[in-house]
Amino acid sequence: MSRYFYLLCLILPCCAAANVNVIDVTFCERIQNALSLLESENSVQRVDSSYTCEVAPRSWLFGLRPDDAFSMPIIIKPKALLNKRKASSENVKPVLLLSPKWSDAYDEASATIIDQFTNKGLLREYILFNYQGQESQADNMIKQAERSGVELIFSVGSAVTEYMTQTYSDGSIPVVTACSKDPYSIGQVDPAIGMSQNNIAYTSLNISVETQVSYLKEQFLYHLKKIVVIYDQANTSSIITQVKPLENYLKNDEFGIELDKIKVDLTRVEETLYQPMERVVDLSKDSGDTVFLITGSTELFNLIGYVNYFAGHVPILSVTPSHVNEGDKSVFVSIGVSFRTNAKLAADYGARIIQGLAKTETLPVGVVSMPDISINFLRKPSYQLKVPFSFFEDSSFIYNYHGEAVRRNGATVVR
Amino acid sequence: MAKAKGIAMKTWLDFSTTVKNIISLQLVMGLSIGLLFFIGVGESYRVAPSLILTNVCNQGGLLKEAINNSLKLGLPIEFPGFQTRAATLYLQSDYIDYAEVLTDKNQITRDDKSKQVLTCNIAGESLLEIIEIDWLGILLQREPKQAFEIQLLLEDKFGPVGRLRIVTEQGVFSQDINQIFSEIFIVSLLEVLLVPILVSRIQGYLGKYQRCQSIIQKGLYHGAFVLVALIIIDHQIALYAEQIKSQSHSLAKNLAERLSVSDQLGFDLQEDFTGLERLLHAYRAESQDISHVYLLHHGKVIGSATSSQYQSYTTTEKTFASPFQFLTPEQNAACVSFKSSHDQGDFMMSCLRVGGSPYQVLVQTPWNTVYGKIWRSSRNFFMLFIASALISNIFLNALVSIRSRIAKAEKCNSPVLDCDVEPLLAMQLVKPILALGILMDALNIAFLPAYLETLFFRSDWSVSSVFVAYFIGFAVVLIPAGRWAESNNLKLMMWVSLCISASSLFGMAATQSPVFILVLRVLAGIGQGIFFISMQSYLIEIERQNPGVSGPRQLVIGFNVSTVSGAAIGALLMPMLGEAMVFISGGVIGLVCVLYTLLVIQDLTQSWSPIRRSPTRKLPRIQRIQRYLAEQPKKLRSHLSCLFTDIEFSKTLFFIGLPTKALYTGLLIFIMPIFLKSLNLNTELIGQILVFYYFGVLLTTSLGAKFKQWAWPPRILILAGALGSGVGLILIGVSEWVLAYYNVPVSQGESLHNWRLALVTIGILVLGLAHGCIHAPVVSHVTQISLAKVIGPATTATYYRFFERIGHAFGPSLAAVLFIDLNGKTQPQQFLMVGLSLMLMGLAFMLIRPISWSRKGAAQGLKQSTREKHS
Repeated sequence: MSRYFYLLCLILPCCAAANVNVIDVTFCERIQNALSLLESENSVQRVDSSYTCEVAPRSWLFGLRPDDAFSMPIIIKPKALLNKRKASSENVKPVLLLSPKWSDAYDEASATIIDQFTNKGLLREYILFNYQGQESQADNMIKQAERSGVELIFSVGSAVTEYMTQTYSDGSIPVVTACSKDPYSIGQVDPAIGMSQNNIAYTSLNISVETQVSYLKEQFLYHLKKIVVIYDQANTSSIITQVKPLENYLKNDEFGIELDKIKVDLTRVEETLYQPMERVVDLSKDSGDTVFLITGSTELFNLIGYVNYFAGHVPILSVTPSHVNEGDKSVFVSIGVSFRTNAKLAADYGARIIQGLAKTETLPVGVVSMPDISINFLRKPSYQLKVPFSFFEDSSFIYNYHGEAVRRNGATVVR
Repeated sequence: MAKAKGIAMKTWLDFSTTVKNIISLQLVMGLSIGLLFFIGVGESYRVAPSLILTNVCNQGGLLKEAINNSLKLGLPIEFPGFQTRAATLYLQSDYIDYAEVLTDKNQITRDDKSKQVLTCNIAGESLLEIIEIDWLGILLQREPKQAFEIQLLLEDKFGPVGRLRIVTEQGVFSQDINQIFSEIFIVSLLEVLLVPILVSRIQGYLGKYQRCQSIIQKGLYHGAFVLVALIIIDHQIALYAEQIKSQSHSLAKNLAERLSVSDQLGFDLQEDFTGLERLLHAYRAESQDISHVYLLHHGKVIGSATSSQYQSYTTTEKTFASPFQFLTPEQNAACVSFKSSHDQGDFMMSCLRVGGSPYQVLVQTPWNTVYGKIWRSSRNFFMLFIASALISNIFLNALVSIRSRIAKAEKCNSPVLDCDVEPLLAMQLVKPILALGILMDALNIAFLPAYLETLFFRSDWSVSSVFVAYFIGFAVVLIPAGRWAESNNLKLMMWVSLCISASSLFGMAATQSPVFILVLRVLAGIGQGIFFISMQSYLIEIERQNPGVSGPRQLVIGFNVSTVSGAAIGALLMPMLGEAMVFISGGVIGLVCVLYTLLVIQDLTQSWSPIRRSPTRKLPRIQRIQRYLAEQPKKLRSHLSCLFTDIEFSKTLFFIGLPTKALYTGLLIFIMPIFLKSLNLNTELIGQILVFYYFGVLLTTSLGAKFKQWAWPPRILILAGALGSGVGLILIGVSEWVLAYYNVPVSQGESLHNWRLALVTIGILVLGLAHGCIHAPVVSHVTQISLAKVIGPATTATYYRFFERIGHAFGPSLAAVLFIDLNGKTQPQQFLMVGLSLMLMGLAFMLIRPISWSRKGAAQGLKQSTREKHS
């Protein structure tokens, strides 16, 4: 019964708006929750920051099944834009945010982009679509975007960025990537040129290996001799974007740091992870000469409790900020780029393109030079190991010796 | 009855004379101390506001840095905690009225229409142009109204996101100065009113002892002047020291705040963190003044950063035993302090507790550095003090002379101007004109090039053409003026030249057209040229009539005193009043001089003047003028042939006069500022070093005037001057030569730099001392040569002055060839060569004697000249 009612509503647009929250409550809620989280974490109440969320107009639905609530594109409008429209008849072009699958990280990135645009005074309508791996839907969406005069597309996620690179690198709408892996490592951009020279402006979710190693050796572990990188042999992208660049860099590096690799077969963790870890720990003389670096693989991170146990006095680090969490399911320190920071950079690129201050062809690949640092003191492996005060000052997230957050997103947590 | 009436009349006359004397001395003291007061206020406004601004900017800058750090960590600009921190800033600061964080969208919450916007990098003098000096506030202690606004850019990882707006307290820059100077004003007023009465009373007791009276009057006058100066200096030092102390305290406070975050979040600095020394080093490096930064834990040093030059002062005891006496009890409780092996009195300390933790931050600034800074700030005031003291002395001498003049007139029972004066008195009377006549034009020396650069920015004329125009005007008029000096009265020349100079200055204030400015500068050059010749002739005549007085020496003293004072006072006045008003002030001084000349100056009888004794005086005036004009070309030819066949004149000109003048314009005015700039010195310090040249000139000239009876003959003095010039240049060049030879870079070590700077300064002083031995004696020398007896000493001196000016004109070009290489860099090694050449020329001047043929030539010229006169 309800399925027919929804269909009726889509046919009659006048009632579609009224029932949008009933139809697509999930996607809207996700984004609105992410937006609210941004405000609450920052303790900020913006007067003009409330948004309306509704299903996209019919022209954007092209064959989607209306009963599949998750697959419906939604449209988010700042209330300030509605007020502005009442005052003037100015026509504002929409912005499309395309993502490949459901992910809290993508929601956070999308919300951050919307928030940053509003903060910069760029009031736009945002069409958000998760094509759930169906590339034909993504293709339809892009064509509709061209027809509707969309001003800018954000490709949120590595998969959609790869898809856009292959199919839309000569497209007419400018594209900015967000939450996507390093475009140099996966061959999307020639490192010698440093820019795309087409309609896609890339940003990187990885910090450069130079920055990583210099933060470790020059500011933290002055006696570092060995980095042991732990990676999932099945996770190709982490091998390409994290293991290989580090391996290449340390081959020619002047610091004299040895790289050791623990290639994990998740079906045989005892032999491929725990035993090699024990061997490394036995060889390490003090707490600062060796570190474990765990790569960004969800399956591997699920074993973090065991990894911490077998690491002994050797600290575990990561380049993924989400690997530092409240409680003991966390690594000690992460030095990398958070989804939010990357989304801010993408929003900055997008704003500059919309304002005519930059062109996608010539924008350099956006790499965050000052990484996000997170520390969980509960996971500090030994009493002797101390944290550089500069790391402490620069950390966005800090968890104390009980694993409780004392700083979150740069703000002190009041208890 | 008649006797009683006579006594009453006499008493009344005595009383009125005493009152007149008191009032006149009060006026002069008011003028002198007023000038000093004015300079003190101006100098305080020049220095203190920039220190206060630095303080406000430091405080704002530290908050900005903290907010930027949070923004880079991901906090949005709208984070309410930022407003709280801004509120803390203005609640804690004495200078900040309000502070807020603004995004690009939100509006300023308080009306800012009346606020003037400042930037933190604004220079002291530019700041003075913005600040209104609250003169009435000094006198009436009224509420100041001027407030300012500073906006600092806030940035996150990706660029600017907002601004930190800081609004200062009303009268932030003037309040402290007004308070200090209102006290000084009362003291000064009391001095001005009471000291003349005291002088009068003492003089009454010492009726018979004229000399004692004069000493007491001068002593009390100068004592009162120095007392006010000392009070001003004392207050200024206190004001500046407070600001400098506050700067290091701000840094300590910021460091303590940064470190206290760890305590707030439940961590321990020593247990949990490394890299604290790196942070301490970063703080120490942030301020050049700070020598030590310590982090203490229960009195034990757990981290320190020390500047390299104070390594030996770093405490080795590691424990701070006894409490600091100078800290408040609260601070003392927070900071368990130490008694180290070195004297803690050497350092100014800021000790602050890190939050609620047992840690303390101790920041030490050497008092030497504080005094050095205060000295740098006060140095300018010392220069101005000397300038105002010199001028005040002129005022006092003028007063004394005028009184003597009136007394003389009463004695000879005729109007003031009809009563002849003695040469010494005439000298005293003309001195103020000499000083002020040069000062009126020197007021613009300090800012004229920069001012003209702005006006001539798009003009076809270059700035240098203005200076060339001035010198052309000056040089062209010298010989005609010299002739005029022989044929007409000098008083007329004086006031006419002063009128020309004053009108050119008024014109400069009225126009900004490059062409008009060129014309006005030519006019100024003509005015100053005529003035110079009239003064020179007047003083030479005084010297002729009274050989005990050195006229040229007085001219040199007057020129240097006025140039130094005028340049220093003009530099102070410009930011306060603006260029136009300084020109007008110069013009007004000129008009006052005209009035003074008309009322006080009397022409001297020029008994040697051929014109006055000429039989043509009986002819009608027009015929006399026609004949006079017809005679001039012939006379000029005759004079020139006499001059250049006279070996004594020629060698003096070529070995002494031309090199000395070329050295002045070429080396001192042109090359030395470029050279000193290459040593990374600021313009202010360059000016202060160059002033040593003028002090040197003044010193030798004044000593020469004072101890004339012990002075050597001019020839010996000139030789000493030439040799001294060489020594001065060698001193300047030798350090550079050694450094260049061993290829030591300019930036090598502060002590080396200071040593070199000291050597250069001494070299410049020696050069000044040496030139002091030349400037006046050389004119005396040329007026004493045999030729001068024929064509007249004033004419000889004028010709000499004229040809000497060629050295002025060629100096810069010659210096450019000698001292600047193809890359536009100065070659200080050349100073040695030029120094040696000067010494050789001095020796040549001494050793070359007129030979028979030249004597013959001179005698022939002499005879011819005498025949012409009789005809």
